[in-house]
Amino acid sequence: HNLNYFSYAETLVHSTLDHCDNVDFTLQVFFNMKNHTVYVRQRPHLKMFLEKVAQMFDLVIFTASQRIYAEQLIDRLDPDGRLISHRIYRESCIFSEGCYTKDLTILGVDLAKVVIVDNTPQVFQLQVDNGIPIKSWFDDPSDQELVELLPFLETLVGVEDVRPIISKTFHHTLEQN
Amino acid sequence: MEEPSLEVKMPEADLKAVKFSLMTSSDMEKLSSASIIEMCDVTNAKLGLPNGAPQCATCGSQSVRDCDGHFGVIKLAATVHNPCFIEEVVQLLNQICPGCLTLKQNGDTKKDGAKLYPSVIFKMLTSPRVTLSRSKLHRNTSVMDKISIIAEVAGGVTHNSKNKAPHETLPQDFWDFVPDDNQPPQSNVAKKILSPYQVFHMLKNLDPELINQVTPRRELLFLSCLPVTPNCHRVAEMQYGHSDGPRLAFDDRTKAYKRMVDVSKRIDDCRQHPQFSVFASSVVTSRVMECLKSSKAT
Repeated sequence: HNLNYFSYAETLVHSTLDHCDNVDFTLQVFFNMKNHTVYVRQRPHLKMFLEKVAQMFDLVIFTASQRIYAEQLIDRLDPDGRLISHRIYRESCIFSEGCYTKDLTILGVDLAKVVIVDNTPQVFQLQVDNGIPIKSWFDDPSDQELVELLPFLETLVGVEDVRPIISKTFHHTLEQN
Repeated sequence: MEEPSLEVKMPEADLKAVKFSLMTSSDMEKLSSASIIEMCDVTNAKLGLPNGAPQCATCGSQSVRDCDGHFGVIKLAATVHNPCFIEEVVQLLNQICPGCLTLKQNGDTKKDGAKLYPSVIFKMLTSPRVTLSRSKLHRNTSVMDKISIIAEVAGGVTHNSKNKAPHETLPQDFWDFVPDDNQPPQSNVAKKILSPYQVFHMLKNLDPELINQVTPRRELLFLSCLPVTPNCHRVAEMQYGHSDGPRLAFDDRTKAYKRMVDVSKRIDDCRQHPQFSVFASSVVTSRVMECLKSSKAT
């Protein structure tokens, strides 16, 4: 069974502490000794996307966000706990030169079967060929990135090694002189 | 009456052998004819012809045929480990017990009462520089891959329990041997990417005699200077039919040297910042690798 990892900040949702109307939901998060309201917008077609991906893969959310806030948010995305099989938070990331890197070996599974979708390429530096890049999303209601990604993910179901397929499709080498 | 002979004999010697070796930072300084401090110094007339001046400012030669060129030196804003020897550094670190900074025993026998920590393995990590554009990852091969050293927990750590963090059993002070570079503390991670600052200070804390047992010539592991090759290696003079004289063309190495000098000056402005050492180590290491890569390319 293949694994699929997703970041979620600016990949699946966008959240902010600034008040705004037209959000999908809010969270009450307690940190730094006080309550904060977090305003969350879901990327277009997120619900359908998660349902489809959960049918094809073991779905893991891998985020560099703090657990205290990310846990609540994921609970809202998957209230019955039937879509997302595992959650990994900031404390499992590797901090290096100013950014969090996600090391896909921490679950001890065959990397040939692992895909990570993220909007920040720096997180890929340990396993570049497992990384599918996606544009950051903030508020565009016409965004179609998740829908357009589904056909490609379907081609990865059951393959022996996902890495050459990802590399050929999404990775481009710039030759500069 | 015959006058006494005025002939004077010059000293003579027979060349018996030639030996190649690597320059230490002090060798670079001794050999250099000029300190490179400003960006324009990279093509200074002291480094020989061709340059904008009619003659070499070091030896006075007015023709490229008569001047082999002279080296300059850039003083780095921070002393760093030499990126050319990252494999040797990894090898060295793997032979040292990080806790007590002595050579590891061949056998795994522990002293009575010693903490039974999992052991640490150091590895070299090469990752391409990638940028994201139009949902494509671009690996920019004109920029040297980022080379880091990873410290990783070794030994049989089971991954059976999915809901339990795999390395919750690590002691709270497990990573204390890694020098503090003021990053967020992460005691439970099984893998750390060491910053250049951390690598440098781990090496610096080792007994020099100990290093010499594992790696000959300890001083080669560190760089505090970078040599700048003579103008004739990097600068081309193009003869045009213009009355305003020759034009000079600079190669990629010259541009990399200029960026090195520029960044060193910018860093110096931040010398009072409490995080200066960490920041300077990273930036200097990155620029040194760029200079070395452009040298290799020509």
